[in-house]
Amino acid sequence: MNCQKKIKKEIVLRIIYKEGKWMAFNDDISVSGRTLEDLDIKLKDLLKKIFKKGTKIKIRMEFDYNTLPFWMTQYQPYYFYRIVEYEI
Amino acid sequence: MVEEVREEVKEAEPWEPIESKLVFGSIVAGIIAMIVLAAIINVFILTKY
Amino acid sequence: MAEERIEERKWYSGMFSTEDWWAFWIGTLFVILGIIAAATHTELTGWIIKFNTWVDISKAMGPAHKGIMSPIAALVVSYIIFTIVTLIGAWAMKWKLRDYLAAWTIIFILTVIAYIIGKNAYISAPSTKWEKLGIESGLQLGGAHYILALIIGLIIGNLAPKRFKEFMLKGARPEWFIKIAIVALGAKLGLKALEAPGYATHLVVAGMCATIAAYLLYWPISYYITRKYFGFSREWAACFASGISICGVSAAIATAGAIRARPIIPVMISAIIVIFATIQLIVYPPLLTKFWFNEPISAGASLGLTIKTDGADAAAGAILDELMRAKAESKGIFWEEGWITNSAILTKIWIDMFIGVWAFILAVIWVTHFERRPGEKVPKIEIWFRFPKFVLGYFFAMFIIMILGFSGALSLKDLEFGLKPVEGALRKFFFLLTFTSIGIVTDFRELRKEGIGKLALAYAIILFLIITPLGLFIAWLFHHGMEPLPAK
Repeated sequence: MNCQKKIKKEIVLRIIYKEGKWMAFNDDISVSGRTLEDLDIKLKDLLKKIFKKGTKIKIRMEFDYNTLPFWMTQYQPYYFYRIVEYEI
Repeated sequence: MVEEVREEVKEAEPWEPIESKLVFGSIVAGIIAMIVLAAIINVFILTKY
Repeated sequence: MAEERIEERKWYSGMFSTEDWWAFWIGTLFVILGIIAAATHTELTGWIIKFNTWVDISKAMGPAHKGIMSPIAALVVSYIIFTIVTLIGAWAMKWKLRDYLAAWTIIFILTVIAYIIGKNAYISAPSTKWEKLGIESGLQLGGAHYILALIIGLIIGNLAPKRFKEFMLKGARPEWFIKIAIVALGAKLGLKALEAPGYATHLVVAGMCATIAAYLLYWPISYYITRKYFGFSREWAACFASGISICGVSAAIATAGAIRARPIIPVMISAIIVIFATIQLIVYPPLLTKFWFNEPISAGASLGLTIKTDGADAAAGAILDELMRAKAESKGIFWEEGWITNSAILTKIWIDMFIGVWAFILAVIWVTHFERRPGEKVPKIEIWFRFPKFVLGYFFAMFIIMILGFSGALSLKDLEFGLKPVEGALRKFFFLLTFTSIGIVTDFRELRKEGIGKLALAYAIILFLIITPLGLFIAWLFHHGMEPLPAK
């Protein structure tokens, strides 16, 4: 995916919590923040650099369930799936 | 892990009115549900046993 | 950074990649096999290994349908088929197959050993059956096989070398095993409903009503106490309250996800939930049998309202069923097996089903009041993502059997031919696999970890002083006077 040339309105990211930080990433972008607010701000700043002004972006963040201990995953198969919408 | 717990204890937010609403609302709903549903079950089901 | 393509989540996501769905698939597969066997009178389920109370060890086990093969053949066939179906699930879930196969095989063997020893007549038979079995004395430890399997698991979980324990965790999946067994239990309820539709319906409805009342009271009380008296932050208090009030580990994870909590929180709370659930599983059934024998169904339902994991609740229900019936038999009363277990599971299943709704409500409250993040939405489909899918299997099994039976498509005798091995032998074996596995995943050493003490203290106080007494009262309020149906 070349985000510079091809504007996309939907982005799917994987999100994890590691070493005191939330990290959201896919093959092209990666951001981290101590809180989700912090993460969202950094992500927005990053997207501003990639997309044109006025672009509406829907970001889907699927929590990577494999980061939970294996013994726990049998109890509940789902953590969260954030949907955040911005207009650049 | 230990730090996480300690940090939480230190950083517990003050109680907010919305929490009172949530707790109070749920308890009231629970008591009403208990009375109404128990009445229904006791009248229509448990009298048979 | 990403190892595989990240896909957008759809309503059907996880259908072949979660244990919850795989419990549905496997449980439903055996129920359907049972129905086909009922319709065609073929031995599609008769091979399932069944364990008996024994004096002569050659009669300790055999196929569910007597005489269709030797006991050893039934054991081997059961091992092969159960291994294949769970391996398919493990493969679809991308587990390390070799590790799972090895750990599962060890658990299977240990469970068989516990079953055989525990079912020895001198250990478990009640005095009313001594004459029939040709013995003159015995320990009368009803449910000894359950306790034995649990002890074996606990030894591995707590005393075995760390590497071996870690290895065994790859096959010790108590929630998976119990969910498969619960789907099979749905078949039992369906068969029983054909004989006593009124009683089965009453049990289902009373269980649902009790759950609603308990739910709405447990959560706010637990939340208030942890916030006000233990100084927990909102994030911790909400996850803790859900864990202790609703459905244990499952609820703690669901709530943590809903309020976007850091995953460390449900991880720590879950370690405590599992330990206390095991303590309850050991302590509650004998206490209830001793002090609440006159209310067997209320006692069963109270387990569903107080024990917070499906596995431990169902396991406790099975022990209570054995103990209550053994005590009843000593008084000349003969109750049918399974009703007390079903009462324990029905309250639990309703609780499980509502977690998605409750988590959604919390998610909305959190996003709108506590942590407003611009642009973030709470999709309603999260309710479905958190809905326990194995419950669909339980109700599918129950309703399909009722439809087939009441419509006259299949007679009760035919249905029993095909489904008895599933709702009886298979269910009981998976129950016992659950006991062994619960022991393995329960690590009492977790309590010694620094930082856990306060959580454990709060958990113990609320569980034993609030949840349990309230659960007993609500169970009684909605089930008093009900007794299991008499044995045929």
